[in-house]
Amino acid sequence: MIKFIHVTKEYARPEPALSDVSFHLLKGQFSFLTGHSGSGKSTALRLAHLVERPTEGEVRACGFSSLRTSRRDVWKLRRKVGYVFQDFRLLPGRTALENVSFALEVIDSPKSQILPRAQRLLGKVGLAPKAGAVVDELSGGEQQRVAIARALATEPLLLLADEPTGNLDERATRGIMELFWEINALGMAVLMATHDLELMRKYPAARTLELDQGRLVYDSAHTEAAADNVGESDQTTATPRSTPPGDLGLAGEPEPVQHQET
Amino acid sequence: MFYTIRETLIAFKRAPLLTGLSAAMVGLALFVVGLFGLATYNVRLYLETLEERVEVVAYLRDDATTADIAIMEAALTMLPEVLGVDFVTKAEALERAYRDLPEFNEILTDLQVNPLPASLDIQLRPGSRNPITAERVAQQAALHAIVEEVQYGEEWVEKLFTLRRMGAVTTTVLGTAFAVVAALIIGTAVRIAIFARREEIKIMQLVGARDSFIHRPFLLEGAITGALGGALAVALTYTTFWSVFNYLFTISWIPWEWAGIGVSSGIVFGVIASGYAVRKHLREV
Repeated sequence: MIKFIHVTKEYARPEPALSDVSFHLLKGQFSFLTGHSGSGKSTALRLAHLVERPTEGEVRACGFSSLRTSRRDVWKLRRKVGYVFQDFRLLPGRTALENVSFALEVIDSPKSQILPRAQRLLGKVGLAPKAGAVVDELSGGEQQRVAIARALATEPLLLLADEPTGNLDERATRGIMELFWEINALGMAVLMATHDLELMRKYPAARTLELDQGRLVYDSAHTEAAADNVGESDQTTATPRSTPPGDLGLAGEPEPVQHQET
Repeated sequence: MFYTIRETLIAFKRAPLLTGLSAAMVGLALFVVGLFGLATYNVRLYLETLEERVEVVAYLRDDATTADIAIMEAALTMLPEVLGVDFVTKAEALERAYRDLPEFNEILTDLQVNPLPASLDIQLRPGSRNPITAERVAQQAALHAIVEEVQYGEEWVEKLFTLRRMGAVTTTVLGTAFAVVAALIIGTAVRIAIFARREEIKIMQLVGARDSFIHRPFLLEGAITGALGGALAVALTYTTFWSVFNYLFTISWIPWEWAGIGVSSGIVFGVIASGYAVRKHLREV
């Protein structure tokens, strides 16, 4: 799903943002990417979305390689990889429905399917009653739900989330995490950057990758062996927790999911 | 297409002040070019009026026969630079002198004989009314034996053409400078409008929009802003023309094709500036 192969990312500053990072995120896997501020979490997500390119090494995401995907073709990757931001990045002045419809329009969805599908997506994130509300008037948690619905519009195989609960209170955080967990249960891989250890402890089933000063210092799945095996492993699928991937179950009602929260 | 038009209209509706200011900036930039065009056009018309007076006059000997004059007239008419040849008799020359030089009327009346020679007035074609051609035609005319003297006002023709050359250089330099300044202002105005919406561009990219898809509404927006600015510039230029014509002195309105070129320039500059600005933001993500 995502493979970082000896990835180094340097900016103008002396220390690299990422230094020789290697890991392999499997299909359907839920992973936390953690570390202090400035440890390289956001850089790693931007590299996975090909917003930036590595200085050294290679990033592979959903079949696209940072070495071979031209800037012109990045949109193809972006339709397979959803992205959720800490600051939501919604279109201000537009309704929740318009924000999700916009994403569907942008990817050339058939016109007749845009509205019903946008409504269904908002229903999935529990915002059907507020579909007509202008996003600026929604709470932080609700805005993040709209952003998640928008990210799901392309039926991605992978969802990247950069501190998605960073601006939310505890209750809203819990709701958003439930949502991510449900999405993952439908077969979609999730890579979530967070520095909230408390939050991660509530989801022990998730894999944890920890960055420190740009280096991968901990991988709960492989620990020390992870870096050595990466790039050689043919295993691409994690044990599914629920429904298999496909339409991501978004066309119909979701199946009930047993969460492993503690 | 529906999406493009709708998004463009939404952008105008959501930020009418920004759109208005952009169009006004484009309009004012093109208005300066329009004023320059109006001035240039009228100076050009005035110079053309002066140029029409450039002619070669071949004064004839008193013993020139009608047949000789006819031969010479025919020969001159065949020259490619010559538009027409008028024969002016001695009597007509005197009549002209009475009309054009009223202060000498008394002296002319006292004369026993008409001292003025008959002449052939040779008009040159537009484009040939320059010192070199006038001199060449004068030399051709002087070859005829019946010619006493040939004049074409060398000195003032030379000055007129110096003035014309200066005008052409000034027009080119100033016109280019105004056009460049207008292009920069239009580019800046459109880029400011797009800069305000850079987040939207990023969001579109992040959800998987193709570059061409992102470009379309912005290009249309740039074209409409340019067209509005161009129309404003034409309106302002026409108002200036109308005011000068009615309250100061008579001038001519520029050809409407020029106004069309002004509006088209606004559209083209708007589209180019939009395309450039969007591309710059697209490269950021």
